[in-house]
Amino acid sequence: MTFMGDRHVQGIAVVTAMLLLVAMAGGPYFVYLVNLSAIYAIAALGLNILTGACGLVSLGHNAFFAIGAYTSAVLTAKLGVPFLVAAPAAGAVTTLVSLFIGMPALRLTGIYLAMATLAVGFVVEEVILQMAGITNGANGMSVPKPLLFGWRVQTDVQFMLLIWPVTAVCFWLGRNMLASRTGRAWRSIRDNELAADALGVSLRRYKLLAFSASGLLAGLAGSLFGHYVGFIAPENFTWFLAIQFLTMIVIGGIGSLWGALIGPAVFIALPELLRGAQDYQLGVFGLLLIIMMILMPTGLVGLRGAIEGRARLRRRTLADQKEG
Amino acid sequence: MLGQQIISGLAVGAVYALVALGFIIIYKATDVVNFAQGEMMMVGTFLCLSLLRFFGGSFLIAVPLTLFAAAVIGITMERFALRPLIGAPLFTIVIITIGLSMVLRSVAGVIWTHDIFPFPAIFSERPMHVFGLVVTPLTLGMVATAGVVMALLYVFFNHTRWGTAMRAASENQTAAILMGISLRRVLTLAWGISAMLAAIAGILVAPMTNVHTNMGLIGIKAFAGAILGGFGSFPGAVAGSLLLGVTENLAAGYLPAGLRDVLPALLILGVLTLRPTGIFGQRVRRRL
Amino acid sequence: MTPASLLTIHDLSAGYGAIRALAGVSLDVPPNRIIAVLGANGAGKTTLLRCISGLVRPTAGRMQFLGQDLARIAPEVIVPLGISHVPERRQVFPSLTVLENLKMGAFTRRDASGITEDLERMFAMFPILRPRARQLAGTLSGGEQQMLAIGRGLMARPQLLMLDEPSLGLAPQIVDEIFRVLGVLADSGLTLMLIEQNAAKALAVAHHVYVLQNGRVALSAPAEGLRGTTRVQAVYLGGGRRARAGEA
Repeated sequence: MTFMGDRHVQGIAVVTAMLLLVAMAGGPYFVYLVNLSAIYAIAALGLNILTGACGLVSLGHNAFFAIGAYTSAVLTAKLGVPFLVAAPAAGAVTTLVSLFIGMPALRLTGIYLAMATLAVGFVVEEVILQMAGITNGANGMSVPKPLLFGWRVQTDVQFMLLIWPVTAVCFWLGRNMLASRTGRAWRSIRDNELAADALGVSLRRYKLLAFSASGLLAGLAGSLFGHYVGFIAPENFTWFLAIQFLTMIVIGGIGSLWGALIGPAVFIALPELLRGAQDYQLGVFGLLLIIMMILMPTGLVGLRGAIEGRARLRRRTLADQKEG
Repeated sequence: MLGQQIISGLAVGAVYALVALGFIIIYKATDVVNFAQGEMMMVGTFLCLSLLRFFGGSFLIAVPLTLFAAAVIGITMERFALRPLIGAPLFTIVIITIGLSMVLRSVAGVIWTHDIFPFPAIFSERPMHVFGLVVTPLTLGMVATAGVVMALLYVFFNHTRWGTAMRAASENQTAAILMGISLRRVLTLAWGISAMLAAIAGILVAPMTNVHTNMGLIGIKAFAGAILGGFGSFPGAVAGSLLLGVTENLAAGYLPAGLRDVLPALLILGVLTLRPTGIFGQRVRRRL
Repeated sequence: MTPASLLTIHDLSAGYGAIRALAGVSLDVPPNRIIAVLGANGAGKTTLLRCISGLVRPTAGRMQFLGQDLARIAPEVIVPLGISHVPERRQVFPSLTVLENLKMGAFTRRDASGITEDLERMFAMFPILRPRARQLAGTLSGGEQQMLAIGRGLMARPQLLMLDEPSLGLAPQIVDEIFRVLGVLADSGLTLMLIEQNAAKALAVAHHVYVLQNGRVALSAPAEGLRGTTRVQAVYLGGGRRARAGEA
């Protein structure tokens, strides 16, 4: 299936065009939110692959986001590496790190894996602080705007033109992976690891694949993030960020491709709606998480399926009753 | 000097142990990892603070009321947020308890603000000299209280009808139901007891850390302690927590500040790399 | 005409998701009798017991015990009502001691002296458990665990004791001993409902036999008429699996 022929890509293209138009109308702040959504969406996709599709609960996604951001920032700011090299490099570094973590993590299950990823998040945060010579520690560091073939990306709209295609490509790749045998293997591992193993699914290979995909995406997203907001500090990448990523995929739909797009958008939009009630924001998010897990475990994406499913169930029940 | 650090390490470790035991009790009863345990401690401590103000500083009145209120909060959390999801996958449970922790933190912030408050010590903080070491009654009291609480837990779980029932239910829910044991009651007990343990821990440690809405981060340390101990065994959780407390304190003297903060995380990673199921390991459970 | 039944099951259906384990089962358990329910794996026998003890909710049909409708009752109330279910594969509490396991059997009882009496009675009935009273149940052998499980079930002083394949995985001598005990229990007034794959042993002690096949009652007859015949095997064979009589 060609890139442009893919229904999802077309969908994204349409959405992008719509957003571009609305953004022009909505003003720079709206464009900013939209761009942020797109960046988070890439990271959320990574988490949705690792945790949503493959079932490996990760509480340390912030770590990979941070590594991507700092790698790209350091390469461009301190070493003068061009953005077009630094960003992929950031992705590569993060992929390697996630593989490095993924290998011992193969032996861990469930809560132990979650705790390990949580621990990794804390350690990475600390490492960034400790490498103050390079990263500027707690004070944070400036990240230069990307220079693409002599054109410096500055305004929000210009960033949109940079970010959205990357998001689209990532989602196209993600979609292919999720819909392919790889995706089926991941989901089989999530649903019943023992059974999957017994059926010959290589746990090792697919788990590592999930880790690297998730790391790569988070790293890329982190890189874009750093260059977009222009200034990064360790406090941007705490455990709270990991929870935010989890929140995004819960809202959007665990394991779902579109969920990784919708979730961040809703997540970003919500605080804007809750502007007045700053104090309650955290609590509202918490309640949202709880309610969603109880009532809508498949997220917003699952809503359509749930409605259809319920209609089908009603029809079937009626039919059963007639049979007596 | 070394002895002193060990003693204060044990005191802090004892507090971690109480929180960790709360985790384990909930985990054994319900397979739920309660990420809100630290926040339960924080809320319990704030409640005590307010009650102390209301009752003119009397711990005698405030503490029992705090325990009662904490139990109610814990039971309510279980009833409305966890019970609908019996049998749900790990991810769901993790998200829900994380959500609970966020709600608790937010509500606490609204009620008590996000400022930092001093907390009166239930035992005196005047230094004494014991065997050549300088300790305070508070430090000794922390260890002693934790010890008493653990002894009470031991008696409860091994010599009472419901305590034994909870142990039975945590091993085999089906068989427990066939005995006539109400799993709902087991859940209620587990959350009620854990909430009380968290509150006690908070009351003990608050003079040292002060009370603030970020206090719940101690939960992470208790987690580490529980994981060190294998996340399923009571003695393991206690041993792991004490070990963590002492190591932290010793490290404080010899390691840079940042490294000390990340010590629990490093310990977790270290233990899990070497022994994927914690130091004391874990039995396989049979679920419904 | 059967005497007034202790337990009546009428047209019971139940399933797990898309799988229909029971498709309209009706049976009667008169007091003071041993009723055997036989059938191949997957015939629905375990599901039947689980419906009665409240672990599984039936989709249709009625269950009445001493006039009480069982469907609407919570599992925790089934035990005080007088039904005790000894589950498949024993399922003792491994890290509880033998004594603690027995005491859990009496969980719904509050009469301390009666419980102590019954504990003594259990140790008399299963003497090998007595020296192991403080031993962890998980360290017992299969036969010992089965005896413990039965003892645990008896501690509730039930009127109806339901056993799910007590002979599974046990050596023949142990099976003989267990069935001897079951006979003694029936003589003393207890009603037993026995699920077994080991048809021969069950036929030897039972008064009435039901054979389930694909969730339905394929055969219902007094045990006397079936002993020494191949009628039961025929039903098993009809369902596609051989009943290997006499094999533990």
